Amino acid sequence: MIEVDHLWKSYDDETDSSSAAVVDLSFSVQPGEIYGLLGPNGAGKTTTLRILATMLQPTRGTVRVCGHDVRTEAAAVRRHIGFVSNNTAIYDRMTAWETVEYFGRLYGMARKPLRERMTELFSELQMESFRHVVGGKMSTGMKQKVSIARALVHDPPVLVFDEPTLGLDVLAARALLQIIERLRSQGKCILFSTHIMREVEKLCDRVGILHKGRLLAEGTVSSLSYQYDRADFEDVFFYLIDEADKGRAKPSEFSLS
Amino acid sequence: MRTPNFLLVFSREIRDQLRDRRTLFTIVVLPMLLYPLMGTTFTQVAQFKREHASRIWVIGTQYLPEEPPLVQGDRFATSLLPADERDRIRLLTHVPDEPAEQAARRAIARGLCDAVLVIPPGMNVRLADLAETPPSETPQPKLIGDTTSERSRLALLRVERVLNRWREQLVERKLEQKELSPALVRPFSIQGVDAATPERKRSFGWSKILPFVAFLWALTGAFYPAIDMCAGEKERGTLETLLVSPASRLDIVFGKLLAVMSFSLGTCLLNLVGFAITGLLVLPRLQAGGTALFGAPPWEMLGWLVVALIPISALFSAVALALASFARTSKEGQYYLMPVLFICLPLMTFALLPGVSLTLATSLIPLTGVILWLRAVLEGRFAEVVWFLIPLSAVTFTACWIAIRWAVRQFHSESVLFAHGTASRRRWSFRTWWKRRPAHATWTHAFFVGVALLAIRFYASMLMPSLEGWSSFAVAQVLSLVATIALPAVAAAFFLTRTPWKTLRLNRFAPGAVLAAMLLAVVVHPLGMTIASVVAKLVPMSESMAHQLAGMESLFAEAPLWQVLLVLALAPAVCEELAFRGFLLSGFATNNRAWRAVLASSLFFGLTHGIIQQSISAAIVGLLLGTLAIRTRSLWACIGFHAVYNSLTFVLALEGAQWIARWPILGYLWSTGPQEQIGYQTWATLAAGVVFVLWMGVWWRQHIRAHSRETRTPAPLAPAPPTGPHRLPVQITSS
Repeated sequence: MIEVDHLWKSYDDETDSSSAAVVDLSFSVQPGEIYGLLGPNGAGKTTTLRILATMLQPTRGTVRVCGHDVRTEAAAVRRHIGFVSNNTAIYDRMTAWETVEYFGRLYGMARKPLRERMTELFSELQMESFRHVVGGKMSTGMKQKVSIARALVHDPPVLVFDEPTLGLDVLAARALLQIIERLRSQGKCILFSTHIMREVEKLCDRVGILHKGRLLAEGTVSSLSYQYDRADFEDVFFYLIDEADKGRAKPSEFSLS
Repeated sequence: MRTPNFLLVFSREIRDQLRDRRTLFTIVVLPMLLYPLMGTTFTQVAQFKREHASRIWVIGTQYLPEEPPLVQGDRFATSLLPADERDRIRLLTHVPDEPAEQAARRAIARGLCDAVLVIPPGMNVRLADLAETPPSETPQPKLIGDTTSERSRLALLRVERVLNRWREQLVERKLEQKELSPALVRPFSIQGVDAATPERKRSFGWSKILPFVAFLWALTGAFYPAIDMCAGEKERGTLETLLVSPASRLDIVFGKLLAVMSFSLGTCLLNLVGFAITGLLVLPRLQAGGTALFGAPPWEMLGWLVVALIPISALFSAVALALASFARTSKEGQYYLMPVLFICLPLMTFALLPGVSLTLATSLIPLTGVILWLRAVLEGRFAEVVWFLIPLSAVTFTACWIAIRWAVRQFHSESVLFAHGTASRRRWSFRTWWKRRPAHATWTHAFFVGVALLAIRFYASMLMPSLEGWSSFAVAQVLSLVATIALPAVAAAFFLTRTPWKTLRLNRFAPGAVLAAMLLAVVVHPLGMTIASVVAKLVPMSESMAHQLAGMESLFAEAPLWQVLLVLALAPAVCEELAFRGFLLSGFATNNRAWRAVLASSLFFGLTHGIIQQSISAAIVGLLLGTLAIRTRSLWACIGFHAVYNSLTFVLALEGAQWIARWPILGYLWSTGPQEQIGYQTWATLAAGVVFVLWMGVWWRQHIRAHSRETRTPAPLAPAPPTGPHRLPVQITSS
């Protein structure tokens, strides 16, 4: 569903890998699976996800979403993807209902099916209470729900969450993770980026550890703990980061899933 | 039916802006309040002005003759003033306790009076026997005032009028005493008749003010919503939300552009309405006394204004949108308004200057042309200026198109859209900058070096001393070319890029190509000369400029030909090619945009020539030189072409006649024009035209093919063409 193949991205015209934001990254995510991209700030998570969402162009390599190439079929990719990030804010001067409706119409949905879908979404995400509240007056949790409704309105098979719990209080974060779990059970293909270990352990079927644009390791939480002989997943993470900084650990050449 | 995405974006932007109280206030409420307020202030001030009387101190009233009277009590004599002026002058007549002039200066400085009239002692006596007085010894009353004070100037004007009338009365009395007719003093009087109809008179005043006010509002009305829709959305993070939606970048740009345009037009029209309503109510009251030029503006005028407003507001909106999307924050966006105003205001005020009228040349200036055209139409000369619509719309729509393309580009550029994500966090230092300077010149480099060259040339031309004689002229010419064109370009290549030789295209030398280029120069030269003469006819040179150039030509005539060619053909060829086909073209040609690069570099090449007639022909030759540079990938061919081309021009002008006399066979190629100047036979011009068109056509086809090959082939694993301004410059091959 998501296939990333030898992806490179650099922002300036320097071609050496030291200045690239993403270096030779490959992974894939299947339907009904949550794949976690774990990495410290500046690891290249946001860049990778922006390329997936066709906001940035890959420098090299291919990225396919539901078989559509992000470079050549950007419009098709955007129709098959729902993207939530802490950079994708909602409009201050529009109500929750108007915001979701606007994006639904941009996806080309006719008024009637759109209204039905929205009623369903609003009740599922428990958003009825602030249906007519404008974005500027919402709490962070409410805003995040509107963002999710906005990303789900066209019922995309692929969902991308870029650090979605950032800035949320514990209750809102918990509610959000539950929503994501529910989406998995509906068979969605979910890519989830974070730097919080707990979320990964709780949620993700597979994890890729990203550091300085390179994929250091990939696998299930338990297989990685087993492979690197650490009981705690957090230790695996810090071990890999340390080794990479010292230049010892080699980026994984193949996936371990 | 499904609504197109750009309309969805458009309607959302409109709704969003209308929910913003600040926007609503500035575009709807402000004009409705502003003009009535301005009107009130205006009437108040006007009232104040009308009631203000000038205070004149007359010193030495005792020396005034009895008949005819000048002063009666604290007024001038009633026969000296029209009825409505009588109450506007008050006189002080007390006697000063110090010398008259000193007292006068002091009184004016203290603001005790606005002007002082000093009657010299014994004036009454001397006036009585004027018959014996020589003209140089007539009495000289002094009128003292302060020309830097508006009140004093007005007072001086009023007193002068009174004194003139009084002088006439004096003469009339003298003539009457001698039983002669007073008509002797005024053998005739002039009666002015205004042929303008009242409508023309009304539109005359409006034709100056309205376009200016309207365009200014169209600009400001575009700017603030644009900043909110682009930089503001970036700041609030909602732009990224829109970018992941199915709305394409074009949908987004056009939706936003339409919304900005609506606000620009809306602001402008509402302001005009406010202006008109206030004008209708206030002006009749102001005109009660005097003869004002203003009345309600004629309706057809408003109609034309609205028609002209649409492309202009599109232009402003596109510029505002591009700048606003370039800005990272709203604050940064607002900083860009000033420079835009600084560019637009002179263009708009230029059209208001007396003596500037609509010609082919002025119609080609964006904004200025439109205002001049509007003025002409409003003055009732529609039939006369209707054909100017062609150059006007060509210029305005081209400017619009460029601005829209620019805005679209901004929305395709990653570094612009996600500027905050890619900015370097390191502190600036010379070492890192030097080490990290790019391999090749970029578009930004080229643009700024181009602008800098223009500015340097301007200062240099202002500082250039006027020179006598050929040798000092030659030295100054070469020095200024090297210092103001070659040196900046070479310095830019060395300091801004890591591959200066390649940037300046000096790394390849192919003698064959140079020879071919020189031959090409010989072949196309006739076309250049013809274009130059056509340009000279269409846009005639001002007399002072022609005079200046004639002076220069006489300088060249006294010098040996080889020196002229060295200084005026070879030196410019080397220096200008280094700058325009070297650095500028390389910079503009990043991202394989050869056509754009050729156009932009010739534009700058033309602009540096300073004189509009030379600029146009230079820009056309620049097109050929640009294609030559890209085709041969070498500057040497361009230098060869340029040197031969310039040399031919000077040979023709200076030696042409003699050469024809010496070698009559040249007569088949050259012809002598009406003013003795040498030109080419028609067949040579036609042949040159064919070669030029063929050359450009072949180049265009090859370029288009090469370009589409580059962009359409997706290369999955090979390095693909990256996007954004920091793309790798791909060397353009012309295979």
